[in-house]
Amino acid sequence: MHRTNPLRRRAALGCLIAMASFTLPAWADTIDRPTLVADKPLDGSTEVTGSVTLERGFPYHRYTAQTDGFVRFQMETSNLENRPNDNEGVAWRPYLRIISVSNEHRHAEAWSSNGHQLDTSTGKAELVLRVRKGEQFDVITTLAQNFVRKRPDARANYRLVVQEVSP
Amino acid sequence: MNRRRIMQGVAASLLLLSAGCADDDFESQVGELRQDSLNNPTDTGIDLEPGLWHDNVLVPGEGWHLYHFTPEQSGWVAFQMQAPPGHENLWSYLRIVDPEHNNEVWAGVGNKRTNLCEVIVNVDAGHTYDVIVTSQENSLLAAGATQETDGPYTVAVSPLTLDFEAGTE
Repeated sequence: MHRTNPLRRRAALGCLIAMASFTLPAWADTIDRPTLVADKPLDGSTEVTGSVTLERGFPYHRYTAQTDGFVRFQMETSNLENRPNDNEGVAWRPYLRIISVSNEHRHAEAWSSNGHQLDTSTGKAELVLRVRKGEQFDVITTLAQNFVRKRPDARANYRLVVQEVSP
Repeated sequence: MNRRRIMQGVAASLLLLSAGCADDDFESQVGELRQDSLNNPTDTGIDLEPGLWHDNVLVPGEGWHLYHFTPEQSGWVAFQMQAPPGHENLWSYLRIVDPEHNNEVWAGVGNKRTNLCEVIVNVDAGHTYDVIVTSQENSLLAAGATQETDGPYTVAVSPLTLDFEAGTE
């Protein structure tokens, strides 16, 4: 009966692990499977900061409307302090996507904006929605660059400012 | 001799006529295959006026309609598209582009129940905005796939009074 050498078996196992880690992507999320930033919910008018990374390219925040009226989401991007020359020194173009959480009034609505970089140090995007108090939306804060290769492909800091107004 | 020339003339005419028919057939075939797209929408040549609704129909091959809007005053406006609720292949989708502002884009997919889509934009006076109307199905169409959208819609732009405090601008 043929018996496998334990050393060869361990070497084969090591090779398998190495191959798996080489072929599996380093990123975990996509635009259709974004990552919830659970510790930074958006409850009414507020402001949060965060970062888009190669490991988490599509972060999203859950927004809950605190008023009947309108809400404005403004997203700003800037290059990382230790990588000022990314994208030839121009802040990455933001891509803001908002998806409604279905309720008795809403069903499958979504919005997006790919913003601009007229000021090279800051990319900006803006979306405004009509909302009812208590409605919820998922706000995805990513970069237009991440759509070029359909995966996280750039790093940036972002600031998200939420303002509600009543009519 | 004359009879021979006449026959030659008739034959030549028949050839030209059949060639013409062939061209017509070719054009109709091309016509059947022609499809507009996100990057090549069908320009309606219509300038939207604030407060006025414009009715139209999307059909297979012409599933992307382009309108234009040039506001006289800066401020907030709501672009709206409404299609019949429950329509089997027309789910309202609006895309607004500002070519004079780094091609900034705002897009929206409508409420699946009401089939009403709304995109709110702070417009600049004098800029001409592209207002592109389509169906969500067309926006997801794979290359080479045939458009099936076939239904009526109405589109409008309405001024809004919104008083947001200074944000990141």
